[in-house]
Amino acid sequence: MARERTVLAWNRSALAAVVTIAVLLRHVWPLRGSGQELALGLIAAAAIIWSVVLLLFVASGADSSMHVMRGPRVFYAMTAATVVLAVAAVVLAFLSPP
Amino acid sequence: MTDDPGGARRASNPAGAETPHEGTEHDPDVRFTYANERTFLAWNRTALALIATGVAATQLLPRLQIAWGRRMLGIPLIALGAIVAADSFRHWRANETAMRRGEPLPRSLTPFVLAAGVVAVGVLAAVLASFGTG
Repeated sequence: MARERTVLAWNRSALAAVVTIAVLLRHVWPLRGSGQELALGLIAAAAIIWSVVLLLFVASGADSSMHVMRGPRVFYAMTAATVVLAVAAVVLAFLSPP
Repeated sequence: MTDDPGGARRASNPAGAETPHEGTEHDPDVRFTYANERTFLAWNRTALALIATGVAATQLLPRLQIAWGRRMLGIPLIALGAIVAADSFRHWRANETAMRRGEPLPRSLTPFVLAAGVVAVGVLAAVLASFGTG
């Protein structure tokens, strides 16, 4: 169950990252006309891929005692990516009207 | 008196559990590893939410009477998000090291920093709002 909770936590984090990136991109790439349909298509495709990967992961039936010890590189990369998003957000703030 | 050097250590540990010798490390209980990982992810999500809120403040708020008012609200939130993200990694690594060495978990100032930052931005927002919109 601890492993399941961790998987769910990764899913929540991925969702949060996607939303943050979407908020940032929304003001750099305003969607009009066919752009909106393209965005909806991309979101639908991403949701399908995500669901398939999650189902495959669950169906792999890994032993509950088995765990993948994620090294510090994964967490370092996530932290670096979040800081990069913050820098991009600050740049965006200065590029927009005061 | 006893010649058993581990006797004193065992005596201080009523549960009788093996404690690692000083300087040695061992794989921690997988449940605690997962808990540490989930804590890091939770802090990371908090950082992302702060960044998104900061962007929204700079983009969606109406123009304020005070020049650069929206940036004064948004940029501190974004910076707070970056600080929380960086500190979450530091805290994850410190916890992991402490668990491997059987040491007490280190305390974190991140909740205090986060609370103080959000309160400060809230007070600033109230002050800016009192001047009205432009």
